Amino acid sequence: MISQRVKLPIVALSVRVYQALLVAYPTKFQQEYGSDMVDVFQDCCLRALRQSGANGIVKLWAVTLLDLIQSMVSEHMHKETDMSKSQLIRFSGWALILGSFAFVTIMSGTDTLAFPGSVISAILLAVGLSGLRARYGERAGGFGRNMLTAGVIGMILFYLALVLLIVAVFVLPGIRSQAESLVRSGLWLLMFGGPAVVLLGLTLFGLTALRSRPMSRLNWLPVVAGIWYPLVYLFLAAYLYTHNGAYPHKYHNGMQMMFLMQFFALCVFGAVVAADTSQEMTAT
Amino acid sequence: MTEALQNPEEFLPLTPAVFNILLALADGEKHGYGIMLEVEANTKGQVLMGPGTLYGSIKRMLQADLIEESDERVDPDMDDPRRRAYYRLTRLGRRILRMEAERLASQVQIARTKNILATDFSGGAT
Repeated sequence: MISQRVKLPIVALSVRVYQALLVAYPTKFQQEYGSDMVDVFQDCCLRALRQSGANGIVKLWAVTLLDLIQSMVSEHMHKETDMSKSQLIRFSGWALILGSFAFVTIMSGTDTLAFPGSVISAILLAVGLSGLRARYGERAGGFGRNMLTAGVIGMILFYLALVLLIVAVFVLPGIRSQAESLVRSGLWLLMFGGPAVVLLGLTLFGLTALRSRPMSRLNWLPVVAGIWYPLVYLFLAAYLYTHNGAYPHKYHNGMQMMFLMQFFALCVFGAVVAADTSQEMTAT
Repeated sequence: MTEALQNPEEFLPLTPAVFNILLALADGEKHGYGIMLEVEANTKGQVLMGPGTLYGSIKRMLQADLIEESDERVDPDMDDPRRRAYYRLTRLGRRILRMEAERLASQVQIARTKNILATDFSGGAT
């Protein structure tokens, strides 16, 4: 890598040492820019020597070592960020598919199955949303990106509220006896609200996607994949609130249909995201 | 990433390294060492970029579509037969540079209205 013209021993030695120090950078960065960096350093050495002699070389080394440490740390940090981001993107489609299967348990009608299923579903969907944000966030614009973030943060806040309510019920049993039906419906709303918040985030992202078109195809799909359960959830929340915690049995079949729509649409969306990701990763 | 897909506001404010590299490329393409010399001259030696900072910034600016590589060739102004990679501004890069320069100019304007600066720059601070 050292130019054949450089016969000056101090410059040749400096360049060789600098070249050896480049191993501290991430391999990919080294491969892409290592040779150019050595060339630039060699130019700097020649200029320093010409302008200030050996003192110039010493001063150059002081500046270069500082630069080397700073930029090496920076490149390693960027490398880590890029890696975790690409892993998240790679997994996002599958997280949405798995999340949709976990979501089906909510239809079972038994809390022992439905509640853990709801939590697992919400977490998987949140991972999927984070992947979508990493992949389409820039192209979706500020609002779309924020809606994906809000979906994830909203889910976390929901479950925090759920934990607080459960603690309150156990620590202060008076609450339960005084307003049992309200506490019960409140618990229900919080238990099954996680996926609703995440999917609401997806729906709002989908609305902006209709305009900004961040995906290479089917930009209407995020809305269709997100809207069903939030609608059911909002309806149920309003019904429970206005009917003193009573379940709307007469709308049960309609709600089950919307659950199924939610499951299928989410599955299809997850499959499309997974297929597109795999295609793009292969292409790059 | 194309210009249409980016929100230019999100790039601002630029880091000193990125701003100075864009500024160095504003009047034509340059290779890495040429950029380094120009930045040093433009900032009167206040911004000294080592090869690591220079190429780390170049890498990220290429990824963000602010600059692009034009070709590799020998620099006719240097007595050296090495081929060097040349870089130039993209349309997005030029737009971002203008926006950042305007942003900085408006800051300077505020400083001037607060009597921090002289009315013109020829005499320096009053």
